[in-house]
Amino acid sequence: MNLLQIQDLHVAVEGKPILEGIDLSLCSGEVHAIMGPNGSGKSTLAQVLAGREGYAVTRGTVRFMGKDLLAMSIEERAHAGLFLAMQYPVELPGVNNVEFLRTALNAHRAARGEPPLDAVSFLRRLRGLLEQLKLDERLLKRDVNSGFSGGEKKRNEILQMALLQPRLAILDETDSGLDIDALRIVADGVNAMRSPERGMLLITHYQRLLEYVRPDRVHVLAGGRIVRSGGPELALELEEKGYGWLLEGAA
Amino acid sequence: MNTEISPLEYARSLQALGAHERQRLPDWMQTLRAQGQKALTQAQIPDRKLESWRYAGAQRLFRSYFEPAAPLTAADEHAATAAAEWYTAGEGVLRIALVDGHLHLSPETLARLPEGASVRPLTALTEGASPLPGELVPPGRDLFAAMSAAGIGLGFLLELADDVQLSNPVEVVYLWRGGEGPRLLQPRCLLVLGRNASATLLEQHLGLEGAACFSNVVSEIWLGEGAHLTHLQYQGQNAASQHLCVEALRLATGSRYEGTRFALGGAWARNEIEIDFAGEGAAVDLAGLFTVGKGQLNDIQTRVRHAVPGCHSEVRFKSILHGAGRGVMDGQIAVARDAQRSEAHLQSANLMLARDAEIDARPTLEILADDVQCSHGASVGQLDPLQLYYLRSRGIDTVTATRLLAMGFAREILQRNPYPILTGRIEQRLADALVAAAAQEVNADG
Repeated sequence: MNLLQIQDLHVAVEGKPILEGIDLSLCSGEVHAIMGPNGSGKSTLAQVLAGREGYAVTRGTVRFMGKDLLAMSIEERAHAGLFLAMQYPVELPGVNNVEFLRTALNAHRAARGEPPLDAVSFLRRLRGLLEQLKLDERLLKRDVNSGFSGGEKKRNEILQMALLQPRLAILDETDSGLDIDALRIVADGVNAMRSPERGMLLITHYQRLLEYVRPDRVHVLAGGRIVRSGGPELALELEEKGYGWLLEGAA
Repeated sequence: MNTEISPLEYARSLQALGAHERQRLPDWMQTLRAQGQKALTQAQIPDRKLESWRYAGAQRLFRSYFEPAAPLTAADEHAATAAAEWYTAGEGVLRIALVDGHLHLSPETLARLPEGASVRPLTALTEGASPLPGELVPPGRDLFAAMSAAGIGLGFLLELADDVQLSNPVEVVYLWRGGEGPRLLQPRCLLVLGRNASATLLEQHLGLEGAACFSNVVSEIWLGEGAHLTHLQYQGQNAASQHLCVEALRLATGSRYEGTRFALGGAWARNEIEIDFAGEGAAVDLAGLFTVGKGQLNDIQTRVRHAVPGCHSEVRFKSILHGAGRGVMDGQIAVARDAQRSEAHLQSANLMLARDAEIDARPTLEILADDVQCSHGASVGQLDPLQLYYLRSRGIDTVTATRLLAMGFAREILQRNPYPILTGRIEQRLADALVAAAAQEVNADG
């Protein structure tokens, strides 16, 4: 099933064009990687899909499971099954992590017409996920991302993803700033989530994550356009040669 | 009656009320009433020309006439039952109810008091007792103190002798169930802790929905040497009520006061908290949360006076403004010339959720000593759009996200209250207010 269909997407931020005609199609069960140099528009693509304000779509369409994604509110996108693991997870001082996670899950359940999960069943489910993802239970007692290390924040994103079971997970530079152990945990989490029901879009600057998570397709984003698409071998080629040769080709 | 009435008219009505009771009142009470009535003839309605009323005058209070509630008639049998559903600290607590102007002390509570502890109606205080009501908040202080003195009757004394430590909290419920027209309620509380005595006091000011009242509350708190009081207060008056609560504390050497205020209700509400250090090495830790909704005034006034050396005060208030109303946090610290080695801090942090709300935060310091550690500050902020976005991207709607973030902002104050029932009550009230505010916003936009 076609999950995500992006056609001719143009996006401007504060009047400045960032994305200049993105075409991308992703089906259930597939993992795509988007690579590219800094400033190429990778994070803009992630944010515009999640619905962040301040990103103006000036042309093009995005369909998510057949629906017009751009017409949906931020939370409707989440309810429909879109999840963005953010590059910079936001700190929420005073908001307990368990309360946050439970509120998020119950919001999804309410949108599906399901009753809220009670505290006991919820904690049981959460503990199961922590064990599966090899995460420290102490993460739960703390305020959301507040004072978390970079690695803890990324792991908390993976925990949210595992809890909310999205149809399409977009991971925006989830691998950046992680030591090798944290990278393993994140990669294992992503691999555990791979399923024929789900699609994934990995946005990354480095090839490193792709050693652990093998993508089906690799796209190179540069200057607001996808300049090259290919199989997993493209990532290796980029690691070897850098982005320069592609940018020359694009110019 | 919709015209402003004069303080004199108040005086007359209070005098009439007192007349038939005069025979059974103790002498000190009759004296205080007379002083109050005299003060009333000179008192003015505080207006914005006065420094401590510069942000919100009291004229609005006198647009409706509040019939004084008869304070000394016997409590009806339902009063205790009505108060009972509001208690939050569980079984084993000492319960005091002031319902519709009637004091109710249950036999269970009286039986549970340890030796050296006493709870009595103010009318049971005899001449020559010390201290008496009116010493920390004298009738000449202002119009409201004069009114309170002129109508004194309702109220209680909680007294702990030296070294008496109450293991169970004392829970006080002030409840107005409503009646024929708006009423003036003027309860007073006198709390006296002896040397090294300690207690926890949990106090709630409540009015049933739709029952209008003006409560003019005065609390006078004396802490003896080394005494320790933990004091929580929840003001959850209804939207038809006016509420003034004046609290004056005097701390002897080495005593400690830990106070928390939750002021959420009332159309017009004002808390005045005066703290005087009378002995060295005493400490005050006072924190509070207040909220402001549409058409609401919530005014917090704190005065901390370091008159003696070596005392420590921390005052920290937070506000959440969720509707087009007005909040005031006027805090003052004064350190006298001789009060060396004082440490005093004052903070006001305010979260504006409504576009057309107003907050006046004015923390001030007046320091005459030179060896002190003092600080003060105020902040006013809005919700961080990035935080809202993050929550919404997890499927959480804007109103719920706002509630989570507002609670997050208030968490450090909420955590000072160990009673889950009360926390639930506060959180529910705030959640309801935020939902209502969001609905109004939608209507206004549409």
